[in-house]
Amino acid sequence: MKYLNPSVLTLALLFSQGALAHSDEYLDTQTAPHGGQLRMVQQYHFELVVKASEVSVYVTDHSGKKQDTQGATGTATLLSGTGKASVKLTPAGDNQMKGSGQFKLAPDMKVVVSIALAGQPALQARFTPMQKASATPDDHDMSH
Amino acid sequence: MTTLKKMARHLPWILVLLMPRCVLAHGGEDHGDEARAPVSLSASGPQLELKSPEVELLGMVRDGRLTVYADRYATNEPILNAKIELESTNGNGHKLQLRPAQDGSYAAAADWLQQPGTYEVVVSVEAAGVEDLLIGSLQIPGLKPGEASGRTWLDYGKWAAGGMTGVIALLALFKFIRRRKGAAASLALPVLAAVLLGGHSHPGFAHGDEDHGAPPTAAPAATAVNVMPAAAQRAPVRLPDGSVVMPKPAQRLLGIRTVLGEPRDIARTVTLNGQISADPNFSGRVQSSQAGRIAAPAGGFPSLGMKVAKGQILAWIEPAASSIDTGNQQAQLAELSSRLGLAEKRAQRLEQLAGSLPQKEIDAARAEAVSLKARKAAVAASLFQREALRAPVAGAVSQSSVVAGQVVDAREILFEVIDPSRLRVEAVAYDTALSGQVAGASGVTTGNQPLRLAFIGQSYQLREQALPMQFGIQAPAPALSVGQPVQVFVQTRQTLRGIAVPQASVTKNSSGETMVWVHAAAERFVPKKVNVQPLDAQSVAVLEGLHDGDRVVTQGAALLTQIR
Repeated sequence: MKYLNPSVLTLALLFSQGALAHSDEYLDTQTAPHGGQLRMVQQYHFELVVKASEVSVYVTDHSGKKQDTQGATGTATLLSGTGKASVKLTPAGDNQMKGSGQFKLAPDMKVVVSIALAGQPALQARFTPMQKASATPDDHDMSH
Repeated sequence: MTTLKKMARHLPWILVLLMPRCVLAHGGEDHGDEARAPVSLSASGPQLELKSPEVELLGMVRDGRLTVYADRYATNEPILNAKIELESTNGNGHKLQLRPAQDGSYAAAADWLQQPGTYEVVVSVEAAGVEDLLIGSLQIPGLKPGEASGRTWLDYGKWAAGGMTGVIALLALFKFIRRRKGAAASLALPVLAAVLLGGHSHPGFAHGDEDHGAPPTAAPAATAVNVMPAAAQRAPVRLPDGSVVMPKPAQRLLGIRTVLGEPRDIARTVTLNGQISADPNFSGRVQSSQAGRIAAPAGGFPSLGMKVAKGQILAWIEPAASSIDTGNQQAQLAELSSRLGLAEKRAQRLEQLAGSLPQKEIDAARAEAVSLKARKAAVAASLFQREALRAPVAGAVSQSSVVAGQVVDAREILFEVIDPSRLRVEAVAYDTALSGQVAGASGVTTGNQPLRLAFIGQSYQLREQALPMQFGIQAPAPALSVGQPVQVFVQTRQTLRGIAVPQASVTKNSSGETMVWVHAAAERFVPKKVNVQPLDAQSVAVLEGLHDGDRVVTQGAALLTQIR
């Protein structure tokens, strides 16, 4: 154990705690800056906003600081009762990734997003944009 | 010579530096696998482990063939007859349609599954009641099959220990020789050492395809498994940290099911000991009001369990009287007979003289005759008439202790009749603080039959230091008997925060501690020590030891405990 670099260990500890602190239920209780659904993906937050035939993803860090999406690539896959659609996401200025495609909005639709920021490996997140878990903030306090 | 000499001087140190790193890379540290790692690999082949709140997907690639197990996330119930489609989004956009296999898994083969690399995959699952989309990555390491197989973890440990001992011994020898014989000889030794160690360095580096994200302790199971020809032959195994790795086929076979733990407010529950008692409105006793001799009714005495109607005659009793009493009664009867004869004659005579006598006298004579007749009848009846013993309520005969001709005393209990569908539970509470705190109740018999109970009332007087409480049994009730012991769970008005899980989830570990199994990853189950309190006949509340969203094993928890 002493051969492990302490800083690596500290980092690992930090990450594992971060992962536990933001559950999906908790994130659903937070108001997202663009009114979408928030998900935590490693050191980032992805916010998904789905409109008719348009998908936007906003990338921030955990404190809400915007992350530049210049040079990033990504895809979004949408599944609703009628079928599956794949949408290519391209940088749309600031911290936004945007794409458009043919799909229908449905209450039980599921969206998975994969975004690779410039020079970084791809990060993935899963969203249920029309269903926010109905957790109350009190519940969160109890569970943590 | 000088360069060789330099090399020789450094070689042992390089070797020493190299060795412990290879060995310690798998010292049993946790590499943070609790953070959700979408993909976990094991030596048995690349694994694809995806989960969403609805679906848990486990995939294995073996020789270009992908086998996927799909289960419901919360219950671990297999998803059958689903349409599963896998799409690799990066690179060339491969699509795979997975076909259901006979054992409930899904499989597909493709050439690209044999090419090493990291593939980002999007999996869609469509089945009855499930429609989900999952994303993750599938890693196919560039390792020829069978390269790392055949060596168990233990072997690596032995090699490492042996290697380190060897290095230390060589170092000592090297210093010794250098001091004695000089540089030339000292050069030969490190070269020899290098050759020796180099030849066997493979085991030290052999951890090429284990996953750092998965618990490192999973390695022995996985490596051992690798030797097996088919995935179906992998056996469940207990890891040194107490957790259990159970392959999906075994989970399906044992029917492992889980429930999602959700903390909620649960009434504080107190367990009381009680027993079944008869409802006084629907049960009764048959007692004789006088001493006498028992005689059977038409149809015989009622047998045990016989259904009787209210008012049905169960036995006759012939009053027992001493001979003196009987003699007195008979003497009185004889006297009454003669007096009755005289009174009747007198009344007849006076009636013939009607009109010459006052009507008052005629009436008096007639009344006397009637009165004597009634008295005679009453005395005669007391001499020869029997008393009927009747069932006071409708029900089943639960006690019958008479035989024909038996002489019984007054007040002796001869029969008991109980309506078995109308019983009660009487329990005693030793904690008087429970008084007035009962919100609801349920019970369980010694035969583990659940009872739905309704609180009727409690006494406000201690009986043997305890407070008697009465509960009604609500339909449907199992077959019960009066006096049967019952455990009563009384829900009080106080609430606690806890997670309700079925009784079957709770097991004891080898040191007797209460624990539950938590389904931590697709094939991994972790024992958690918990603090529980009984909730009702079938469930308990876990007050400590579980987190929100933990999947608690309900079916098959005892089987998991047995895995060594």
